[in-house]
Amino acid sequence: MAEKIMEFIFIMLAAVTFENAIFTRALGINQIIFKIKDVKSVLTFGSIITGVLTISNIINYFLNLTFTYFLVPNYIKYTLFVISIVFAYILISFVVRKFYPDKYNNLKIMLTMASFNCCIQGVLIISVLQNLSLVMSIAYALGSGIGFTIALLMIYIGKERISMLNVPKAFKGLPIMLLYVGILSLAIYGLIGHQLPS
Amino acid sequence: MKADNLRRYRRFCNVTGGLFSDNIVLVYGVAISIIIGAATSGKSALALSIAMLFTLVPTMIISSLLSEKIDYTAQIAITFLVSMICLIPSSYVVKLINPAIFETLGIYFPLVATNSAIIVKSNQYKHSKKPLYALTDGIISSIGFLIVAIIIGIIREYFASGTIFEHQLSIPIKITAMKMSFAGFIVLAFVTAGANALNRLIKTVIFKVENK
Repeated sequence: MAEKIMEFIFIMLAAVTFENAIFTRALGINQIIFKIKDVKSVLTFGSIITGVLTISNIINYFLNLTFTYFLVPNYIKYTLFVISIVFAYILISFVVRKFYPDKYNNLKIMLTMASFNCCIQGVLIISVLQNLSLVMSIAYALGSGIGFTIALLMIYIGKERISMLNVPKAFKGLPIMLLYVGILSLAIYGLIGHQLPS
Repeated sequence: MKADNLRRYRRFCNVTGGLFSDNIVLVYGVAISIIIGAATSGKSALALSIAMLFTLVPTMIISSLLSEKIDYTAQIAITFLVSMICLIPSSYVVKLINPAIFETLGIYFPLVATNSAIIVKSNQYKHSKKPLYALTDGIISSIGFLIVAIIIGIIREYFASGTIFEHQLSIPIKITAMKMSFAGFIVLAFVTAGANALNRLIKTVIFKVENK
């Protein structure tokens, strides 16, 4: 039992740090995450990503288990990933609309951008490729979501500091932020020894 | 005469904006994860662009046809299911480039179906019923994506393995790390900065011509 708990924690920590979705695989990176204006929005976006990741991972685990039995081709598996995400998106939209109707309009776009993000499908694919059990895939999904949120916070803090600097005109906006994320990503690569852990 | 030229230029920009001045990667900053992750050579960039064409155009048309007819949540869900279904035939076309290309693209090929470009471009048509305009815009945006992906793919391929579209060229030192994500971020940053500088230059020239 203790071994299982240790494995759960290790997979989660690895997903947060050495296999961070943004810094090691560039999953889920786009202009929208550079435009988040306050820490509260960063945490909301990160929480939505973590929620969608965990729910879609559970749905995908059972769908994949059922369809693997029938030896379906790869493109059916790809469709299963999207079906899982769509289910999770509809479920979370329903819950927000039902219990927080006043906040739904504000959260609608953020919910869509967070749910249909490369990070979600990427993590689902990696969970399936690594043949993780249900509990371990939940650990991986939770870790990836927390890692994504930490990366968002780092990007937000970096953006705030860079905005006070005198950046060349051509580099203002997207280029300087990409450069910043690139350097952070390089640091993570240095830490793991130049290759992703299998 | 000068005003006519400017008007003509603006009309030209409206139609061809997706290629440069409204490029989905350089200006909107979307679909960058697949470029950073998988555009490591000319051929993989071409494969990604084909997949993007197959998914972006139908989803934009579907969005313009469904505009305000159904609930937003349902519209988004349908858009992404259509996008995934459209990715399937694209895999057969991509296979023609190189049957082993999927090994290079890895997890990034299926990600084309859920990239942020689809939401951003589909949202532009959620209130307008212009499927023909969506078709044109979709094709031009996909060509814009192709241009950026090919530039980045070629730069990374040349520095990493000394080849361009698998044709051997001379290079003093190979930097194999160019195939990794961090190099993708850095190369894309410089390409975006170059595009910004070029865009500013064009605007300055137009302004000077206008005020002569």
